[in-house]
Amino acid sequence: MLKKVLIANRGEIAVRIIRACHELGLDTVAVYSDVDRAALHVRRAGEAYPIGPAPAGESYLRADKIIDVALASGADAIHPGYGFLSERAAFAEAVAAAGLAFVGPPPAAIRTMGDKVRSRQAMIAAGVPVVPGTDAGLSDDEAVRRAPEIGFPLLVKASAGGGGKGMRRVDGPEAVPAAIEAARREAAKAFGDDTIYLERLVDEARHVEVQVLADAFGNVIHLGERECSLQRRHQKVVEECPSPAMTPALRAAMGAAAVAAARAVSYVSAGTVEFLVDKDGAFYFLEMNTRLQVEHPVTELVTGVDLVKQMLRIAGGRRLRLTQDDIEWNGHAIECRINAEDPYHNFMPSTGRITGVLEPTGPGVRVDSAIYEGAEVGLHYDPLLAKLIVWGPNRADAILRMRRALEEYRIVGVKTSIPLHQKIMNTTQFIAGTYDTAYLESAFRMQPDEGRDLERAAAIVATLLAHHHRGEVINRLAPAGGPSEWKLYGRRTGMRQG
Amino acid sequence: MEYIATVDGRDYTIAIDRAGEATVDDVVHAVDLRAIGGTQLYSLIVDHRSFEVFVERRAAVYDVMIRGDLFVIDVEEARLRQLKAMGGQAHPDHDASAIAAPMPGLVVKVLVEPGQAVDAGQGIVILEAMKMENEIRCPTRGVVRSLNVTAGQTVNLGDLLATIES
Repeated sequence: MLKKVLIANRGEIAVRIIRACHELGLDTVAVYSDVDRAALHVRRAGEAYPIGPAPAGESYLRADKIIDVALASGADAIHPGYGFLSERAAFAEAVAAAGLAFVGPPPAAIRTMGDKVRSRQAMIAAGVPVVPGTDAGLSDDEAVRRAPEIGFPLLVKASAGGGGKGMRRVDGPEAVPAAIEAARREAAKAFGDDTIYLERLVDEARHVEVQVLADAFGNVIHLGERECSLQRRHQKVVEECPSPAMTPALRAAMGAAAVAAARAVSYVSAGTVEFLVDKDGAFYFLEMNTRLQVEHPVTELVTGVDLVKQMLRIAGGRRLRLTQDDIEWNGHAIECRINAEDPYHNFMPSTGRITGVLEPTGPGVRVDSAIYEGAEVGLHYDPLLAKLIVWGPNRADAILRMRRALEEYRIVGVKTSIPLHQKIMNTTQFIAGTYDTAYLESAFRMQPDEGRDLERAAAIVATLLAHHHRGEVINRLAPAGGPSEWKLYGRRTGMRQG
Repeated sequence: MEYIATVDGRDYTIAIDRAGEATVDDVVHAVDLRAIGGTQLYSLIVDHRSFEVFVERRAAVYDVMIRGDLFVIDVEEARLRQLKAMGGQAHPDHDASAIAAPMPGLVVKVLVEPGQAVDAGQGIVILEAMKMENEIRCPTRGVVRSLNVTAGQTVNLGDLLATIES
């Protein structure tokens, strides 16, 4: 088993990993950039070492410095977290070459799954369903002939394409020739290359991913799915487990496909196989994330398995003690990602000093966070401040609990996405579980709820404050004499901030 | 003292004469407002109903957030409103024409040209910060009078990006 683990990350995930290490009795080593000296992961770890200036390229992405720190501190393993170096095969190789354990998969698995073409071929060979499509370079005749076997609706796509150029949707066989011609013409004009291929269009798709765990002895199990269809700019916003679209049969089929995908690349450690699921329950491999996921806690709350501890045990050479039959799914969990951004102003990033934090507590609530009063939120790293995760015996209870927890959560000093989540939890699409990957960006709006109670209360607050501010002005203009009536008013209502 | 608080085009006439009372559209409410540790978070009790609210003040405009709903509230003294009505002079909006950088960042792209007609909500520049591209949008319909930045330039919070003539 391992003794000391270096965490090559920052923010909430570094804190999360440190917690797992400490619960396992492992020593921890943090690394930090110049702006992170006071960060929570530095304060929580047993040891901490500076590794360079704020830009990630000069600190958290410096594989050489991080490995040097690991060796100097006597660590025997490196956990990369997510992002940064977590999916770089060369880093995993360098860690192993330094005689350290990499808390993650073998480099070859990272490399294969990180390559769109090679991973697709590996999945086809393993019998894992992929989005039906052809290779590039079809002639017009071939394209017409093969379109029906791909299935409709499909997309004619330009190999050199991007930004929707050279792409045509086709809903039936009769429309294929015209679409090919249009796509070729557009692609030739835009990219100077009219090579095309066909791909099935997965309409009203949901993004559902399956968690797997594998040890170095060939044991692979799955821990069920996470529903991640609520996205903005391809970033997940809310995740839940189980998926509202799931049936036991579909879970078994997707679980088996995910296990086959992991076996196909001799996977070891925790990993996630992402699928698109269409409205008829057909599913297609998208990609495999060869690391711990941001949204791993929803799986932990529903299965009771601590994924980070499992990763550490596996990296220490232990055999997986869990079998597939041990995995049971109990109740429902939802995660909201709390970002430093302003949902009322086009999700503009919000920076500044956090002057107050009051985290939700109480039954069924988990907060994975790295913020504290006095923390500076800067522009160097991603805007994730914290993750709020709740568990309930069923989905309805989990939603009600999430609403309650969001209402308790107070972060003062920067704008956050908490209001966005409050709105999402009140939409009929979320409550009914009928959303797809397009919903948040197409149909969702930040609009006040009906009813004027809150509006009237807000008007009263603004007016009392305006009245108070007016009083301050008068005080300054007329300093003579005793306390003015405005000052007394302020005192009586306790509004003076001193 | 009588005020008119305007929210989304709706006027509330609110009189504050005695501590602990506010008369909203002729109905008297018991009110108690307390700051919680600073100038942004407040606890409000109106007729024994309890609310926690975030407030941000921008001159006479208050952004008030309650239970995830944001209300932008313009507060004006009732007698000033009356004076203005008699003068027939609309209050000019001083800041409407200046678009300032809402955060420090890198100007990735400028989306408009001087002299171009723009609509409210139209993108003016793309500013990169926190590894994300953010479109800075035009708050008002008008014509681009000046562009004060070019692509590749870094800007600080509050730097002038462009001015729009209504």
